[in-house]
Amino acid sequence: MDQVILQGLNGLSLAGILALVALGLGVTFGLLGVINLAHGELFMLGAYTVLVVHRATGSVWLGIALAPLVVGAVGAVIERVVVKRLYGRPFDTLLATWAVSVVLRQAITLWQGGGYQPIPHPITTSVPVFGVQYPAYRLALLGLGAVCLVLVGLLLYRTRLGVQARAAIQNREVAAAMGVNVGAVDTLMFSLGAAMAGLAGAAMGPLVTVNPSMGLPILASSFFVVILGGTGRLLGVAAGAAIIGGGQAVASFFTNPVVAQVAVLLLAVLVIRVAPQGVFGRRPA
Amino acid sequence: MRSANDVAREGLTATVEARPVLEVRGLVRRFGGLRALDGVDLEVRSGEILGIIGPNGAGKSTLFNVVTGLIRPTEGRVYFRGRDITGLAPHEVCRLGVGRKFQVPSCFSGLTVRQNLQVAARGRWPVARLVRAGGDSRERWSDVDDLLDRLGLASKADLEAAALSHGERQWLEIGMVLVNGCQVLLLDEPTAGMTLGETRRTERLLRDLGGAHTVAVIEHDIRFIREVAERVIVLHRGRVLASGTIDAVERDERVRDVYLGRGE
Amino acid sequence: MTRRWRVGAITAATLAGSLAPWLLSPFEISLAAKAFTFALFALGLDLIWGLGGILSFGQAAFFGLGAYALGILTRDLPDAGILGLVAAVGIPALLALALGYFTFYGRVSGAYFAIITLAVSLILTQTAQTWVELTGGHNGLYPVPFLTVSVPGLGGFGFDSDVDMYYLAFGVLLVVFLLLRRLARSGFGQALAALSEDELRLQFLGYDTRQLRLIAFTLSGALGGLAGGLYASQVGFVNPTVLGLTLSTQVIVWVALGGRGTLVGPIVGALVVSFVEDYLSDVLVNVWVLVLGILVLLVTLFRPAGLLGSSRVQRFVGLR
Repeated sequence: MDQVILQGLNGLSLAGILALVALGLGVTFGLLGVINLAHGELFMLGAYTVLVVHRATGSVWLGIALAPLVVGAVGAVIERVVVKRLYGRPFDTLLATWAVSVVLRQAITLWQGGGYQPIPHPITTSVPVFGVQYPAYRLALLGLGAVCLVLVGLLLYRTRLGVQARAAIQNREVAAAMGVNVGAVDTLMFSLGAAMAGLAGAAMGPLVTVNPSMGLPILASSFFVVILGGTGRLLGVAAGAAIIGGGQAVASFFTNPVVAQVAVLLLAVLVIRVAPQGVFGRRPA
Repeated sequence: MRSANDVAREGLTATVEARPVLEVRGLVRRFGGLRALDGVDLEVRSGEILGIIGPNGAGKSTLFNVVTGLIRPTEGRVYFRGRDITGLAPHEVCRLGVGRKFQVPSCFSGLTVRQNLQVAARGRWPVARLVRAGGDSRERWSDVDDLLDRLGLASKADLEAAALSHGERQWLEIGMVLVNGCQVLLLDEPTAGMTLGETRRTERLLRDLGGAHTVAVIEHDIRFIREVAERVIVLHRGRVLASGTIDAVERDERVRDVYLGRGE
Repeated sequence: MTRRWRVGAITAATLAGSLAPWLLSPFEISLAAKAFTFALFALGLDLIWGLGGILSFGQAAFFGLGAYALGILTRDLPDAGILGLVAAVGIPALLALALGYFTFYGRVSGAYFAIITLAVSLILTQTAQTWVELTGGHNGLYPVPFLTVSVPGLGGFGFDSDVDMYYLAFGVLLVVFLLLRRLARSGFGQALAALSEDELRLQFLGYDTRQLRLIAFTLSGALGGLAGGLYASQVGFVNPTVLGLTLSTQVIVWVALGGRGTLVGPIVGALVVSFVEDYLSDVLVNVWVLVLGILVLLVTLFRPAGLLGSSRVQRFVGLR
């Protein structure tokens, strides 16, 4: 019974992180139609921000706070320099963002080395949940995912910027004619997506050992979250994250993790095939 | 004395001959709350050139889209030579013999003019034959050469289509539909963006098709329709408002209302 | 004039390839043989990406499947070279056929195709890692013998030296190149070129574009498998990296740099890049990968047709 609760909680906290990463991916994919293969590396950059800041100042929290800013800035540069030139060319965008991911990964490898490096836990206490002692930090991750979901929702649906962004998606020409700075909105949205990946990576850093390739598995998982949950609805992303995160935890409880991952991948491929329109919303790339 | 049977047979033969090549029955297509097609019935008879006119948003292009299988109708059927072709994929509709020219000229701009026509000419071939068809220089393409002359594009045959003027691209696309070998041609605004001279030339091209092809042509240019079309159908708000000769249609009070904006 | 130039160039390349073993060291000969199989692999990707216009991000699935098919068969039946090659071509081709049918006929296209192929390659990698009895798991399949082809009644021939493997790889590459060149200039190749420009227009001309893509993708899978099979018997072992993302992306780099849609470009890209990599020290590898990443980025942004791919160069060399 304890095992079941433990696995359930693990699934939920993984879902919290996945929701953050997938939300970032969903913003760039859903709003801009860009499949960003460098998203996993932005996640990795967030973790390295914490590593470097912690080494310099001794504070993990400062690192976690700075990570979204740093990674958001990197995202803005990527959008301005690379992605902007490739709108409407989906394969070239894939290729270019993949190249960006290679450049980021290699740059970090050359700078920080290719090895695994630990980050200390900022919260080491455990709290009892349903009779099981569970690390408080993992619970905090779940909360972080939920809070960010709400904040992004407010940003997109309750602010002027959000209205402009959604207007620009509906019709770029009309939005531009109405005085929306379409280019700036694109950059901001891309940067926002990057910042979320960076925050997720920073928050995840203390739980895993940090290394330059840590973005790859998280990219794959978050793709499937976006595929499952669609991009149009934030709740869809949350649901997708819960299914994938929970599914991986549950499946690895019953079988081995590899089989679980294969099952998840197969599921995602099936979903793409069976419900491409319904799941992706009305904006095929 | 002719038996009743003979009469019936003659009647049957007569109906077979008068039988439309393309027949649309009760076609409805909704986009959300908008009824782009709202119960359209029409037929295109063998060998005729039918003009389809109507104000913007009347449903003309949607009609072509449904007939050629690009979108499915909400209700209604489409028949080609008596066969129900509703819901077939575009390439299947084409393979049966219904060709289409788009409103925006869309030839393959990376291929040469000649290659465009070759690709079009081989459109209905089975794949095995495509693979066997060798390099373009060695193959005999007399019909492509003829067509290049008729289109006035012979001197530009080996230029990339991207280098053509707007009017020339329109001709090239008309040529592609012709060489594709379909008997029924649906032309969506073939003279859009053409100069007067170019339009004249297009008129001659269409009239030369004679009875060999059956043509339905959407056009805003009434003068052009008067030159080429034997029969005209007026679409308005997704319905057939009137049909007949161009003179009859132009005298029609309802049509005048629609075009002069009084009936709104 | 250009035609004579082209025939001359192909003849010269054939001669150079045939005579090269006399000039190269044994080590270089085996490197060259490996580079030829990579070039073959790159031609396969070029078929679906360069000609067909859609990018497969998991092309290594076919390469790896071919390598494992031939590796497992010849490990257990050392004389069954022909059977091994048939399996190395056939199994990946079937996978491509199934995958292509699944996606093209299901109206899933564009960028999602890249994601699906990526997912399939990940699935196969993990399967190879866990199915230890069949594949040897992480440690891989070892040893894969040299290729021996035997025809009942006629005896057999063993490609049992590096020079033999060199000629085998070179011969296969040359034949495939010439066949693809013919295919690219056929009505089918022309239709593919048109397809990557405007799929809808092509449908309205009567082409079944799903079928065109399916054929191109199946052929591309078969070529990947053939390359993988040859690779397995060249290097003598197979491990799960032959199925993985790294190889999938390497082949994309070769084709992107060399010039997609041309046939010579991917070959040159594969030969040059894989040769350079073989001579780099471990320290330099990270810098090299960084340089490749930057190169691909620059090519995508400023020369989407690849370094050899501008239409003027193409027409001059007669690549298409």
